[in-house]
Amino acid sequence: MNKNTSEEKQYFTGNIKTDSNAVKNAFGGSFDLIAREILFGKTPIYIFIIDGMCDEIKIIEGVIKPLTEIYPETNSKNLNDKIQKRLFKGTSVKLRRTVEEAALDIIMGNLVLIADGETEAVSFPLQGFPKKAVNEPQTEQNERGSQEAFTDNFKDNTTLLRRRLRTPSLTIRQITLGKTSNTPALICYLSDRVSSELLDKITKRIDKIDLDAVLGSGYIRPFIDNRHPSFFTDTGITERPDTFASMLLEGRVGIIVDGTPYALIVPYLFIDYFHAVDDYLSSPYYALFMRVLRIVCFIIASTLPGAFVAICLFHPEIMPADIMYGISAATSKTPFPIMIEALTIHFIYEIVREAGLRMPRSVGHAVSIVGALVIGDAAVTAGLIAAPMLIIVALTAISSSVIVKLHEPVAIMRFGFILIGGFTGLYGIMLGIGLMLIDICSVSPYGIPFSAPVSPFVLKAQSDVLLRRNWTKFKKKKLIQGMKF
Amino acid sequence: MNRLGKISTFQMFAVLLLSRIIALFTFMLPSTSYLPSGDRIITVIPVIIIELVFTAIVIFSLKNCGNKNIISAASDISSVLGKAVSVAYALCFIWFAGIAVSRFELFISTVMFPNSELYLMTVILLSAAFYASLKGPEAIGRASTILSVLLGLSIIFILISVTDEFEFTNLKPILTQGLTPILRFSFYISTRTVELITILVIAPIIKGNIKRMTASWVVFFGALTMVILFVLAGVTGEYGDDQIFPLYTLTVIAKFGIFERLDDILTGLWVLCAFIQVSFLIFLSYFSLKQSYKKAKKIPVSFICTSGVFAVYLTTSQTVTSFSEIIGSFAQDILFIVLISVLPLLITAINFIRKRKSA
Repeated sequence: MNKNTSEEKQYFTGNIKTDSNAVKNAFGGSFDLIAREILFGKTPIYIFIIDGMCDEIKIIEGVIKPLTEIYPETNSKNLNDKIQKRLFKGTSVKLRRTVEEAALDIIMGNLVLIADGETEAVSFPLQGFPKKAVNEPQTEQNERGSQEAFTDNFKDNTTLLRRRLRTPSLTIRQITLGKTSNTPALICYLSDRVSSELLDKITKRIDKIDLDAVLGSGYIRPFIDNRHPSFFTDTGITERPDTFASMLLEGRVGIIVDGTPYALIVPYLFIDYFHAVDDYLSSPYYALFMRVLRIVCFIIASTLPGAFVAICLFHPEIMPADIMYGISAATSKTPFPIMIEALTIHFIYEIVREAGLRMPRSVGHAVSIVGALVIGDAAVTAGLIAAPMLIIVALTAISSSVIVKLHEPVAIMRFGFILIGGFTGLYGIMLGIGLMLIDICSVSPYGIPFSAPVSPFVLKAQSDVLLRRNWTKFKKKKLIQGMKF
Repeated sequence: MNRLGKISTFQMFAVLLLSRIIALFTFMLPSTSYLPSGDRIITVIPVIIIELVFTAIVIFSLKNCGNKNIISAASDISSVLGKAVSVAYALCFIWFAGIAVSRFELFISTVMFPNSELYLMTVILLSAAFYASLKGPEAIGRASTILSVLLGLSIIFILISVTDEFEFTNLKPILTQGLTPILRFSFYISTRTVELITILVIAPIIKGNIKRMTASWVVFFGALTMVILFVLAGVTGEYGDDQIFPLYTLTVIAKFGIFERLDDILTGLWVLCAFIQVSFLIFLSYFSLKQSYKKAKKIPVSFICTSGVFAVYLTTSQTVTSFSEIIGSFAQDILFIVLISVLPLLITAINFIRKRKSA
């Protein structure tokens, strides 16, 4: 998986000076490369670490002290063997034959040791860099479930996952992505549930990733995503270990990338966007209600402003007379056409949202006040915006907050629906819905239709689509496993 | 074939349902003919019988073609015949798609945008249908399944909403004008639709029992039509007899809560039904040509077919009267009969004779 270049490899020679210089040169004189020469008996040894990437206590207690004080070895034969057997028994010590491999281990936070006369370096995993503690989820809050989210460190994430799936069938394969960044990533699956065909397809796509750097899971998403141009992505994202674990239980494959708390899940179906952890912790009828509510919110968030514009401009007879009179009285006082008004307010809403996301939290309240009072109240009072339009925007904004994962496609589609509704009325809105439906139905990520199990209808998978069956009958989740096409 | 994807019988059922419902209920009667509502209800029975006969011919032809469609069977006889048949069916689908667009445009221009030029709307519809046709039969089939559920629920909702308006005194005695107008009207209804012809071409990519699916679709649709016509007759009485958009008339009368009319629900669904029908027919015209012209590229050929549909629309969409004259013409009967029975039976007979000779 590692994308080695075709450059010639530099092998260790057994001469401590030549080898240590070669390692130092590989880092081009970086200030944070620590190279220390110590004596193991009478044999000179070089230790290499990156400052701040290793656990100092482990280095002193586990390497320096044993080498210099406990085992003052005099016999210099088979040094690597002795070092391996005596230091850090049980850890995954690796032997490296080339300078490049050793340098890569040092970058990863390993301690690399070169002994005079040995043509292999010994690499100890002694990582100990500062990292963020396990926090609460930022974008997938819940009421009754776990309050732990993935962290930036991939090893912590494996622990979080292992704590939830205590089974040997949980397979976690490590790969390295990015020719320059050498980012560690993990492919996770349950070997007894995942289909080998699905795993092969995903692995092949990951193998084809040819990037210079992978600094987040978003970098590899387009490579895993289905190749059709589509509004909706068929690669799921979660920061919740419990959601991730539940997806693996359904036979899916997860990918964790070091440096980002957001893990990827493939394949991801359209209906998954409307599921949440709380659905599995509350009663089935409430879960059904919440799922229907989320679907309604998706429809409102994407089409309501467009439909409102279309109705006001082309089909006022749809609404009851009293409501229509109220709306037309309000909109007639504003200077802009209703379509421009809708586009402008939604654009302002997106600006406020983006500002809320990017700005320092300390000034968050100021933006809220500006958004609510200046743009909202003052604009209506000044007669720039009609109050009904503001209600529509507010409803749309609240609805889109319910389906956070769909914000990207919904935000774009909303503008599209406003334009098409303003020019062609409900006719265009319905055609837009038709196109959206075709778009959803046309994607088959990894052979499983994105619109499944609704269309094509899969009876076996219906236990967890809209209605979630009671746990007394719902022994094993089978969403993906139940689907054969 | 695999690259085009497969469509299940359930999805095909949904596509046919949406296609037929918009074709039948948007424009039911030629404005020149008249049939009382009572007679119109019992017309459904001969329609079902006629369509089952045509279904039998379709199934018989397909059975004798092996697992192929009628175009491949013709190609087995001679490549020239195969090409001619594929072009004939492609043109047929383009024609019916053009008719569908014209019918729909007449409906839209009457109920949604009176006195407006709708060329732009038609171009938008055709662009959307072109895009959908490129996505293949799987996508169209899956979308149709969802839409047919919505359509079914909407029809049930509309029918329940008009129950207050139902008057038994509106129902007319049947057979007051004899059997001949009923049979003539049944034949007219049966030969103005394209759904059974599509089976002859799309059969190889349908997964499941085509015979059972087609027969059950004919009977189900007949039953649905009968219910709608019965409610229509009971609600509208004589007023409904000369309505060219019968289901729409029903929705205008329907009331629910504060909503004084429900026609916009139907209009919205009608847009989606037309979109599905036209997309499916554009795909089929490409698919027909692809059978004999293996090098035919999907995007350019589909685009040419879509342009053909637009040309048919421009020719046929003038006024309701001229449109009803075109679709009521004798040539339409001949076109249907040739494509659904004469050509398939001829190809089947030639194949049969060739097999006998080689044996």
